[in-house]
Amino acid sequence: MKKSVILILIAVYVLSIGIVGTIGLNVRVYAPNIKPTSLVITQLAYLDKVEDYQVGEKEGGAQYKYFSQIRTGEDVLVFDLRYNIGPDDATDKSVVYSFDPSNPNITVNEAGQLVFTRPTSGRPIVAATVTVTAKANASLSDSVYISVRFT
Amino acid sequence: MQYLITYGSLAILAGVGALLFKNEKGRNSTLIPKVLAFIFVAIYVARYYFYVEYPIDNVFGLDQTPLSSKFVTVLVLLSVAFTQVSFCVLALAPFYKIDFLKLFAKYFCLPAYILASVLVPHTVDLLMGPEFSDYGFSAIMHCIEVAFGLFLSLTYWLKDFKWNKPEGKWWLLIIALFFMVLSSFPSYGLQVLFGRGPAAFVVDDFTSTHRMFLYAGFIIPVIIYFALRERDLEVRRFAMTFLSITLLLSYCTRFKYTTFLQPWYWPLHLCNTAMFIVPVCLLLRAKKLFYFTYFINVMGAFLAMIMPNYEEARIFEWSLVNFWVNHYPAFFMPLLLVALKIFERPKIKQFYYSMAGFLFYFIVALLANALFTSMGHDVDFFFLNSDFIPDKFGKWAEDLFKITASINIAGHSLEFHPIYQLLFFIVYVGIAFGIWFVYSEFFILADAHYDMLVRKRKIRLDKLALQAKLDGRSIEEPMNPDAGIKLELKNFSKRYATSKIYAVKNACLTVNGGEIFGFLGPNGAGKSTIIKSIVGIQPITEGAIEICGFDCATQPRSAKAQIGYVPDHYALYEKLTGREYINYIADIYDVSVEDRTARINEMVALFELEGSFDNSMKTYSHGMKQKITIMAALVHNPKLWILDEPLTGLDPNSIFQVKECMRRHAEAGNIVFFSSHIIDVVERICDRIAIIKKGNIMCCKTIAEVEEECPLEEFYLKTINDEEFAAKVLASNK
Amino acid sequence: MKHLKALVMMQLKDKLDFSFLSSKQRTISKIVFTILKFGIVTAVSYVVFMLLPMLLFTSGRVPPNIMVFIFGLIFILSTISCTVGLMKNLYFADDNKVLITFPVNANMIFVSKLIIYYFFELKRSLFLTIPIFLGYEVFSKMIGLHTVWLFIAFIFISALPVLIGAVLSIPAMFIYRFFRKVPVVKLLTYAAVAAAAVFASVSLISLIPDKINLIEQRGTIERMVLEGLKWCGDHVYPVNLLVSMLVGYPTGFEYSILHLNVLLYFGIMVGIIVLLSALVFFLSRPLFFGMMSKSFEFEKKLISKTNPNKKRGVIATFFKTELSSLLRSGITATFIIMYLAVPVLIFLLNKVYVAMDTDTEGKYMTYSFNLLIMILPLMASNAVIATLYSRDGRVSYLRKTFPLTPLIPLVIKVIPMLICSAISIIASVIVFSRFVSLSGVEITLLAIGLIGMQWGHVFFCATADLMNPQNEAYATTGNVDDNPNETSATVMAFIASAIYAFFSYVIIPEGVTTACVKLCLIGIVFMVALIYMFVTKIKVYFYEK
Repeated sequence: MKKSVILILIAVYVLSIGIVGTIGLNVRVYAPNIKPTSLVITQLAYLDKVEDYQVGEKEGGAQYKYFSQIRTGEDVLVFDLRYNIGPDDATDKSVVYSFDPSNPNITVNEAGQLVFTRPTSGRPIVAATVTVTAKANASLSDSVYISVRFT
Repeated sequence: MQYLITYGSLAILAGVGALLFKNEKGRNSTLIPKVLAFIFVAIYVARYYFYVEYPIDNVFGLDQTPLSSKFVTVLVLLSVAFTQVSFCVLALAPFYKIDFLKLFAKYFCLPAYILASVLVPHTVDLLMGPEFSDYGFSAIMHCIEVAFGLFLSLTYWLKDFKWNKPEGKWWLLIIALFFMVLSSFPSYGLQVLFGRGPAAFVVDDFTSTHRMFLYAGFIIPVIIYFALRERDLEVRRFAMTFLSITLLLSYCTRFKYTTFLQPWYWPLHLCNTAMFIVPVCLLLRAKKLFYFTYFINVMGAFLAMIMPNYEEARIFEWSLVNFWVNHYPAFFMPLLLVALKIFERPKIKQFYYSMAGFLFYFIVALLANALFTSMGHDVDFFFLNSDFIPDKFGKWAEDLFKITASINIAGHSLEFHPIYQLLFFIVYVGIAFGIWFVYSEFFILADAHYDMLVRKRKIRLDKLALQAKLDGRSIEEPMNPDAGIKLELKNFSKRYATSKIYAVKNACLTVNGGEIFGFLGPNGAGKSTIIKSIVGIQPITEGAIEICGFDCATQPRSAKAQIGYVPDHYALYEKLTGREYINYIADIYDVSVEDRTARINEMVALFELEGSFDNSMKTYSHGMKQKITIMAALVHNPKLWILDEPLTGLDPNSIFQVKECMRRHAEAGNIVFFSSHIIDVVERICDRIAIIKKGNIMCCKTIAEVEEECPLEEFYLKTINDEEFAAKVLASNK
Repeated sequence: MKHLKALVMMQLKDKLDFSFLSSKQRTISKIVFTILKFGIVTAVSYVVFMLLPMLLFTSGRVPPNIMVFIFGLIFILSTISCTVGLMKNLYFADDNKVLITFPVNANMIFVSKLIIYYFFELKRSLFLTIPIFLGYEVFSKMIGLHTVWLFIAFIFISALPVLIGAVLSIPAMFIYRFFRKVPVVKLLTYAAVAAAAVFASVSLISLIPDKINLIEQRGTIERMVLEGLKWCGDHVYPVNLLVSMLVGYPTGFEYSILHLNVLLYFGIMVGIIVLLSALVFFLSRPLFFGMMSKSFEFEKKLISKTNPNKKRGVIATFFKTELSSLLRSGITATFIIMYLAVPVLIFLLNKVYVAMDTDTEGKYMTYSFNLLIMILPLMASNAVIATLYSRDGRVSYLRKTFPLTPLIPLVIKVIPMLICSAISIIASVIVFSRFVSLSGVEITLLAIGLIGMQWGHVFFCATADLMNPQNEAYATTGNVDDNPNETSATVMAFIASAIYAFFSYVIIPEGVTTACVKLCLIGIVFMVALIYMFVTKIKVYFYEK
């Protein structure tokens, strides 16, 4: 067989793989990653109550969110901090809580809820500014001041 | 009333006919039938085109027939087809010298028109509608046409009032008639009979139905080609003219004279033009016009068939049938006409003419499109004015189409699409050029196939002739059983393939058994030609060669079984051993083991090949290979042993051995036919010699007869070089 | 020099057709076509280099190592071709017996043969290697001095495969002679090579990953290709040097010809050419003289044992003779390799396809490509059949003198190919059916269709040879380089297999069984038509040709 014929046969063989490999495959739906663009803390739910946030003003005029002080006889109070994260079709809507790490009485449980525990000593008040940050967009966050008086 | 008009017209025409054909001169005139044919055509055209709307357009199925009975409807449709066939035959018959047409006119056209005359009112009702006036122009013309048809058919009976039995295969005529009726069947016929057709059968977008239609476009012309290629040119020309005209008439059923008053409705699409051009070319033998349709229309029709542009695609729709009635002939008629050699195979000059024609048509189509569009009509001749074709190629083509240019002339804004239209033209010309190559290849194939068929037929006829000559004897028996051991050349002549010059002319020779016959001549004289014709390497052009009574041309196998041949160049399977090769030859000549063993052993000893006989022949010297060739020629003890320059390259011992072989073989009663340049050997060994010069056998004498005059060498040289001497020798040979 | 020129021209005219020189029009036409051919190869090369960054190299640059790979491949193939060719032409050619009788210095004959090979090597460089390099240069915007340098350099480079081949032809010749003396060793060697090829194929096939997606895995593929090219560049150092000499030395982002290193490489190359020339002169030349004057009777052995004479029927005797003749000829190897290779190729192909996640269209394509690969190599190898009768030389004339139907020996000659190709096709279809679910009926129909196409093509080739015999050419020279029958057979192979595969792609959507039935019918019709043509042409034209 002539060399040119062998070369053409090799080319046909390679093309038969190449053509199927490029235009004969199943198309995968490409799901775009939609970042969250808005995050607003809305309510605080605990036990059977739901509190809306209030807006206060600091010295200098800056506003801040807070919930009215909560009085409870419980030793442990689990809060469900509710927030709105948008847009609705954002791919990853998960958030991270951050607060003063030196405060031993505030933790986050496995279910993602804030847990306030009665201090073992000192004043029976646990308070902190809790910041909720979107995992998929670190620049998106909202903060609220939560105060609990354990009676 | 219609019957009155019909038969009344017939009576008047009969009277006219009586006047015209009253005497011998009138009856034998060739002009009168031609004039009558023209009048018939005029009546037909008048009837055909001067009508108002034919309501048969809107009849879908026999249930909707305006006639009282479905059976009558079917009969009327058949009658229309029959009269269409009859009209074409009667109109064309005077212009063709074909006896079949006269029979056709007598035995088909007359009954067809009789039937038509009986069905006149029903035909008018079906085609024009029952509400149509009996006195309408078209109805009257229809009656007159039927009467004229009857009259013309009767004139054939008048000229030859005999019942002629058709010669040859009558069933072929029936088949031809069937196809003639099929081609003439009106294109609304299927719609009337079957309605639109089942929804499943859509003829578009490469559905299986569409593919069937495409295949038919190739199969039909092949059938027509094979049916017609053996016929006379006149018959072929008539058949193709008939086909083109009936299809044209079928196609034109939608047109009326008002169509031609509105140019935007003219059939100016490329394929439409083909319908008109082909019959014109056939009738007027217009070659230059024909090649336009050959190069341009065929391709266009093919593309149109692949991408049909009808709206309703149901199988029996009139518009669909009309589409295919238009495009089939546009596609295959030009090719058939060239294949059947009605028009010659085109050369480059014809291509140029057709391109010039195409340019003219292109410009006309461009201008017509632009002008009629500017007048508000939706026109798209040759698809130059719409995005029908760009749509098939994608966005880039559509973008090209969108580029426009306008010219204002006399208040009309003529819009063109210059880039698209220019590209269209260039591509089309390119395709035409390429397709010409494809056509040529197909025609070469067709011609080669036909040549093969002719030769096969000749072989069959030769076989029949042989059987006749043998007169009941077996083909294995010699033609001439009393011949004995003899080689006879009877007026043998040989011409090679395409050459006009004879290599051997009228050679006559007889060599009897027991002779060593020497064959002398210069190089190129024809010695090898004669030898190769005897042994069967080349066929015989003229004359005959007989070997021991077997004719070489008609009984080749039996003749060859008598021959042992030693060629001038040894031809061996060099990868075999000597023994393998000799056994191979012995097997072919069916030599028994005992015989071959005895002969092989004898010859191996004679030629001293003991040590190397079982070696591969590739290791043999020239002399050894020549000896093997001689052995192979003798292993089956042939009655005729032919040697062509056998002594070339042999040593003296081997030459002696070969000469001994020759003597012994002749002494056993066989023929040794020996060609050589070595005069001395010929002189010593041969009984008789022949000298050949420039294809002619100059003389055939015994050595003794030659040497009465002079030594053989001198005789030979004089015969070859001295023209006067040669003439004397030739004269004495005769 | 005059004698050398005469010797070279004589041998060149025997191998090439110079008849176009007789007519001015034909000369111009030939020149135009030559330039066109050169231009087309350059253009194709350029387009390929343009596509490579789009398809493979994400950086947008084509690494120069790719030229090392391409040129290395061509160089190795050329060297092998020159070695084999020179071995036959220097030591075993028939024309040696004639050339040695001429009144010329024997060295001239030797040099003239080398010059002929050099000429063909230069011709191949001009129409293959140089256009590829030119395409690369155009793509890399290195036109100008590089182009001129390319042509100059290849004048020298083309000598390398010839000289290497001339040197390697010596051991090759000894090995060849050894094989001829001891056929058992030859058989064992072939068997070992075949086993190695099978082992290599199996190893290659086992490397195929489970999932292949050429688009998603582009990065991985690119990395593998780049690593492979780098390996090439590092390990094929001489070729690397040559390419560097041709392409130029890297100076920043460009490659410059006007660099000392380029001159150095050129000097090394010239030195190697001189060294090889000396080797050739001192080693090959004496051997050439020794072999030239030897006759082939050195192989003759006096055999005392006589074999018995056997009688066979006509068909049996033809079968034995043709089979013996075929097996002892050199062309059988092509067929055997192809018949064995096709099922392996199908297996490899389908292993790759199975790893791809093909959609419906892709599945249809895989069917069609399978059919194409099953049929195309076999049909392409049939081109030799278009020379089968002519290769017998003058024996073909003798066949016309036998008292039997010529059809018998002519058909028997192709029967081995028919049988073996049918077996190969059946094996391929069975392999194919392992990957797609085909029923027994579908397998049978598909195999019949493919066998029909293959057999039809065999008879087409045989008919071509019968109608346009080249007996005299083969009888005189033993080989014909530009046999028109071979060309038409090859073209027909490509066209027929392409149409068949395309047709299968069009009708497969109707259903596999329907498609198999239609393909089977087409194959049968094709075969019957061509057998009919073959038989009829023998009947009608055999004795005239």
